[in-house]
Amino acid sequence: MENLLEIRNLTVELMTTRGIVYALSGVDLAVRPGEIHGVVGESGCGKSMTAKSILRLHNPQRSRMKGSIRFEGRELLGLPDREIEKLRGSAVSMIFQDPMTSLNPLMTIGDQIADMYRFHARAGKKEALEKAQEMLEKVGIAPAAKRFRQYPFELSGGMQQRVMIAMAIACAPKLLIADEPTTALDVTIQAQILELLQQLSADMGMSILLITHNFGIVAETCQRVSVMYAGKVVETGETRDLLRRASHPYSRALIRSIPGCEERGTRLETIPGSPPALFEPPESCMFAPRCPFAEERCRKAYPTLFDCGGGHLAACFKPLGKEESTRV
Amino acid sequence: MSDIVVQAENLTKQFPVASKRLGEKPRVLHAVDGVSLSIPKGGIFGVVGESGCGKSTLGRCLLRMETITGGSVSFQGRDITNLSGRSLKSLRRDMQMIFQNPYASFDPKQKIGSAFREAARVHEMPREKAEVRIRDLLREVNLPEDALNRIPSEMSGGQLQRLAIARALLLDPSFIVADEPVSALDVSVQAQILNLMMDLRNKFSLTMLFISHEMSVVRHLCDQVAVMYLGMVVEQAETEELFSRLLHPYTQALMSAIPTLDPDHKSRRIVLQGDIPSPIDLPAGCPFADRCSRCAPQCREARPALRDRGGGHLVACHLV
Repeated sequence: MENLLEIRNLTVELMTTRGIVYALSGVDLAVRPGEIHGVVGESGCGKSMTAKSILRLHNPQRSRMKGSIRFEGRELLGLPDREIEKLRGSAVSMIFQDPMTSLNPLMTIGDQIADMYRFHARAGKKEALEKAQEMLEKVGIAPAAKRFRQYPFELSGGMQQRVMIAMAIACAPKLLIADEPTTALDVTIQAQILELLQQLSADMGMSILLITHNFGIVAETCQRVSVMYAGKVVETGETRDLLRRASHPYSRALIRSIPGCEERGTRLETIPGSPPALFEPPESCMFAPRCPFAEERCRKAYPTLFDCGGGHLAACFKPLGKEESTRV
Repeated sequence: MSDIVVQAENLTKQFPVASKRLGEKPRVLHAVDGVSLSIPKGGIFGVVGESGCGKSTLGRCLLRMETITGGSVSFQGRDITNLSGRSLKSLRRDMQMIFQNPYASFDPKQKIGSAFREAARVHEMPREKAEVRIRDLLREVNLPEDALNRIPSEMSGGQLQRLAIARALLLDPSFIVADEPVSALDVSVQAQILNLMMDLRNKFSLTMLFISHEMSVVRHLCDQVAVMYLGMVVEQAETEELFSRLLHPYTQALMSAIPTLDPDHKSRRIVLQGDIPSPIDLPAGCPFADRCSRCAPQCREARPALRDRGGGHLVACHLV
């Protein structure tokens, strides 16, 4: 199957006052048409950076990008900014963690959606306002005619996130990048938003790149998942398969540190140490210093991808066998 | 049961709300509405619920960081409902709080050591004793001594939360309110902090009110759990008992909304419609009626009382 989005060996270096930060060092990621693809990892592992790179949302003067990002077969990395701008909000759109800071507090939500649509679809004012109302209905904001004239502060967090989604899907994008869309919301509201995203993906045949730190969300909404650590994808595969037999020691440790599966009051498994600072380009496995299975070769070279079968890949010299990683 | 450290009887906290128009009847927000609980020495009492359900206000009331509208709070057998001034300050030494965001609980420009010493000085702890105690505590939370010479921005969130815990323990308090202490942390760090809290509880037999919006965390750590909705406790029981039979429809919905690692879990999900209603001008009936899938006529008429359904399992629902 032709991939909708294909990222190959993407590196992003950021110039900071404390030196160069190797934010991404060789990310490989592929999103198929119509699938919901999860990206999980801890803070600072490069999940959001990968998402931002696709739409070139970081400061180009202070960063350096190499590698390849192909969207519908077209290379995005060398494109002029004007072309990327055309892509944003139309073929590829994005929603963020905190809807309140993404919406303009001084404009009614209807006007905001209409504005966006007029810009990208080159529509007239009347048409855009009708579209905005239609979109609000589509994301379950009722009654749309009344809500249409409200300001963001009049809506709850969950409703605001629905408005963001309405805006993001108004131009029927092929790919929606959702960067921690439910992290700021309560669990019951989170369940509503995830259900909405799944329904929209199925109805519109839209792919979603769902960035989250919550493995539970991935298990329930994503067909495939990529686990990131220190600026690299360390494991990728079908969600069910990866959860059943996590092959990379990091993925396994991450899954095991979630409370709720073992006896109450017993100690949770933790990962010793903390993630590395990314001031030096990685030459060996970045997880080796924290890995209980690390050997000499892990500290000398970066492991190549190991094929665990069925498109399940792990960047590890010693991928864990089934008996070691069984769970659930 | 062993001796009770903290007890609340029918605790109520209301906040006045500014009227929208001149001459309008003043309105009140019911933040905590008739909550009763007692925490034995060494016990961890969990409070779960969505944002705005009154769980933080409950914690603040128990610490007497708020004035209390109705009901009573007692601490180590002494009624503290109406304490003020100096007697309240002497109480502070025995009660501490840990907050969600560790970066906001430390002064960004103050060295960690200075923040610790300040707490000791305010409560007139002798300096030599304080120094020894600070170093002991750093060892307890697995941090090197040179952490004292750093400022908060040089620490990670997990390290800083350890320091916040150590500082809360500095005065050897009898009661701690932990308000979402792991919500801002990554799962692997969250696991470290939860392990640390369990260790410290065993070692110092800490008594704690643990506030969280995550069922799984509360289930792992706490002995007793109360589920709150719009200021009311809707279900309360020993942890094992509560999780072995969830009786209130809200608790069931809350539990089923949690994403789990089991991909087949979703088929059993109850998705609640709508948001939490406003805690101002609550309806006469059950506060959960508007979102409840099993709502019956009597639910709109009278508020259900919290009744024992056997084994100390309290539920406020007409239909259970």
